[in-house]
Amino acid sequence: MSTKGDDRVELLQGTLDLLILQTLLPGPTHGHAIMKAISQTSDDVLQVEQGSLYPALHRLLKRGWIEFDHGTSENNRRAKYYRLTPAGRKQLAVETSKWEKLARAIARVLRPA
Amino acid sequence: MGKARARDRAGAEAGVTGRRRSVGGLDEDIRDHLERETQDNIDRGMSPEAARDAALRAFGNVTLAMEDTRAVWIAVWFDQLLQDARYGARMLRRNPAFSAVVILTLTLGIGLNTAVFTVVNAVLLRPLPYRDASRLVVIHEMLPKLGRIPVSNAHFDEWRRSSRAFERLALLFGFSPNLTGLGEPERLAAARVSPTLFAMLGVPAQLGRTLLDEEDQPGRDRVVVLSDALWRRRFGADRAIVGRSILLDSEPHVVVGVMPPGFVVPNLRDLYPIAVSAERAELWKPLALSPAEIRSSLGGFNFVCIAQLRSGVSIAEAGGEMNALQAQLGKASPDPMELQADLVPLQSQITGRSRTGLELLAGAVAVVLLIGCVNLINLLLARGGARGREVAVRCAIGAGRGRLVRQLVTESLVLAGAGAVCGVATAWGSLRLLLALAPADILRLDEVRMDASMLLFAFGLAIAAGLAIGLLPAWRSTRIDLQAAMKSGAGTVAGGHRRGRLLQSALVSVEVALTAACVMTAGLLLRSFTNVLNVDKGFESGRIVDVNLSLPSRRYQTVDQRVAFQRALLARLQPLPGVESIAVSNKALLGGEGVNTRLSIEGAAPAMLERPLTNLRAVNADYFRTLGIPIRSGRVFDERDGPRPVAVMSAAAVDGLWPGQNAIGRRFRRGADDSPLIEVVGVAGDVRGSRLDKEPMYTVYVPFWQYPSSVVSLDVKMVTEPLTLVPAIREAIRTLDSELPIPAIRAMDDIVIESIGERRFQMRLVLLFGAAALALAAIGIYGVMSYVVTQRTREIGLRLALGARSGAVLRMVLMDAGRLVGVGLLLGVVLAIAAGPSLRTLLFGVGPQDVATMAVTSITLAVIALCAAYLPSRRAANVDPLIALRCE
Repeated sequence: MSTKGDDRVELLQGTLDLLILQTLLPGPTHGHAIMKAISQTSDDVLQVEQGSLYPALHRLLKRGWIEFDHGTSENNRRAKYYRLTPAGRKQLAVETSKWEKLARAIARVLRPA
Repeated sequence: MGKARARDRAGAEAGVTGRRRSVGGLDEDIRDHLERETQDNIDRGMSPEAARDAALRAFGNVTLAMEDTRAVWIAVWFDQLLQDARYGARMLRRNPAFSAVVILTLTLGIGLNTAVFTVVNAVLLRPLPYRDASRLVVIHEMLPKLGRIPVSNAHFDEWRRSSRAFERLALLFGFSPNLTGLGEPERLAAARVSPTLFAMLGVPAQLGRTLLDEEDQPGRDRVVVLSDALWRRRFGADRAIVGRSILLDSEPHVVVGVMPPGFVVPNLRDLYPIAVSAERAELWKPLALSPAEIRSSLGGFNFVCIAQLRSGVSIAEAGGEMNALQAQLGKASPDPMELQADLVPLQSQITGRSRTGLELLAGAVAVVLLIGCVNLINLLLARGGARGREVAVRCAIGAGRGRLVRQLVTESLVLAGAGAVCGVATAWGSLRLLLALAPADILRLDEVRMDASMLLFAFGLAIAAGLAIGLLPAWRSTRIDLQAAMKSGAGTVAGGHRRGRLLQSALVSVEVALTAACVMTAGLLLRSFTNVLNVDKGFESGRIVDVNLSLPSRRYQTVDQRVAFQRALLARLQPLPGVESIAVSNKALLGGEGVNTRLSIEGAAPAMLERPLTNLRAVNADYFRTLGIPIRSGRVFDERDGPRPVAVMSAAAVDGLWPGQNAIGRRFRRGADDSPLIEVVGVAGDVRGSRLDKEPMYTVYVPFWQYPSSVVSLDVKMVTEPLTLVPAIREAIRTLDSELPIPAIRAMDDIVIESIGERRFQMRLVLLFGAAALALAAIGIYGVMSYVVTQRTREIGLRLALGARSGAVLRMVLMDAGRLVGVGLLLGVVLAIAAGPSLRTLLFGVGPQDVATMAVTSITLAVIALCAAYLPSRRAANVDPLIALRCE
């Protein structure tokens, strides 16, 4: 409940939301696959804390950026398949450009030209 | 278990509850996730068990994840609130004694406050039951020197002609006709009103119609509208009554309508700027003043005026217009005077008299609740200490302080909720008791009823009380020194005992202060009451019964007829066995302000309104002896004076008219300058004739045979028990005139007590609340001192072991308590002094800062407080050093 903790969560939240949206860009997929995709595409650098994946998914659901269908997976199991909504697509663009701006700015600070 | 889970899942899939709908299938989702992860791990070559473990490890706390996910959808506090409430209820069930004490205190506090609130709401807050009640005002005439006086009919006519600020103006005047021709004759409370009054109040008749404007003229005014109650009581709710004729004072009147139940015109008594006695009218007829009436003593400053402001016109604007008008009227009058008008909203006019008293009650009962709450805070503080270990454990496994505080506060809210439920029941009971005890003349008391606002108030109060008693202890008991708490068996609150004790001590002082203020106020009211009771009334009330008759003017038109009736009645009653003497007058004592007149002494003719207002009583010679009114000098008139204009005057009037001179033989006039001169033959003692708490008025007594009064008030003094003769008196009156209604015959002593009924009611309640406050404060002091002694057992043991005498220990603890009580008393005196000015109107014969009252109540309070502290002190003194040092 300390304010420091809140800051950390806040930062992570935003980042995780961005990564989930990006992962869903190619097409619908289920929770476990999202997590795996994030670690694999980031060459295992980004380890998603699995416990926070579902709160994040539901946050995005609540904001209307993603939605889900019940689908049947490869091995014939029922699972929720999450996909981007048009609003989510827009949000992804916004978040991406925001993130790039931030990353560039930090890079400039850390390694001045 | 398995079944329950299956049901849960079924519920989840069907989306049964709100919570599950938004996070539907979450557990399934996560289980799927875990299975996939396990499968991945098996694929990587782990054993199925290791794979499962690894998956769970990687996922982390499943429950937490689910809670966090739910939290996305719902305000998590609500979920936790329910959880806390359940937990709280469980904790409270486990400590029944503690819970009972808290709930009982809150039940009493909330219940009494709700009952008083319900009365205050009905009397002061709820709007009057009229259309646009906020636009209704009462207009008083005002003389800068004299204050408010009733309205003159001539001025009213001028207002109605010239004012622009009002939509309607109505004049009212009370009368009490005898209803005859229908079995037992009855004297009714009625009013003559401008017909527009009904349109103004916006209430239509339930049967027939209300009065018409064109009926407001002599000759067309023999029409009446009945109240629902009268219609039911006397006419058996007969719907055919409309159009029928009834006899009022032996004259036929046509009933044109019946008002709906619940319709009331404010009691005239509450509208007059002077004390009059009147019951709430049950029948209305057009005012229709006849020229003869206007010429008589009725014409003049005798009426009440209710007006309806035009919409959009403020009361200040209307007041400005009225004052301009009044200035003109005053100048134009044959007797020029400075005349003003005073406009008062109808609601405040009606409730003004009760306001201070009710506010006082509300204040006193609020103090009782406050003291109760302070006790509970102390109790919870002590308990917070005892629960230190539980709190520490919760803290250690990761509960945040805010969360803990919330949980503890929820517990007190649960308690307060229970208190509110029981409180509503208590309120219901005490309200009935309150209404039963209340004197009939508290305004609008008949409109008191239980409704939603009462429930709302009770629960609002419960929430406030729950927060008030919960927050501080919760805040303190969660300030934990984890290590120390976990180590010690009992658990300790951080910051040491000292700070906790300081807080508790401060609360005790606050408690004593509130109690002191409450008890001092009660003391002042008690003294006022006994002062009123013991005031020199100027007359005696023992062994006297009081009968009031009203002679119908049709059958008793002339002075002679009325006087003949009175003489005949006296002749019949006098020889009854047991009758000592009989007084006759035109107005009962303590029956409100009677007939007033203005006096001028021979040879002087000041402006009419500058002449002293004097009470006129038309009495028989035995009046003074019967009522024990002393004759200071001269003699009482008697039958031998015949038609000679003579009078007995009260001492105050004599002193005012002829200061320092012998008044016997002097002459004066009452009323107009061409009226006959009256000779003073005697001086009588002063009498508090209208109210006991009002200074005696100037009074002039004239022979009843010279004054044509239609009201006959008899005071019969008995040799023995007064009420035994009542049947004989009734019989005598009935033989004389069988059509004459005989109202209740009452003992004068009862009338005296009833006349101060409202005062007695107030005093009793405030005394009751003061006693409750005192008891609560004593319990509070006892509790805190016990706690302090328990906490200091070790220290006291050490002192005793080192050779302190137990007497010294006793003194030490008592001194501690004494300091707290002393500070509290000082604060209480300050509070009482601050509240003083608002009390002034309720007091009689004692100032709001009466030193004696304050001293007596302070000493009483101090003694009770020290008694409460004595028990724990003695326990401290009897501490066995060996045991004390071994404990902890």
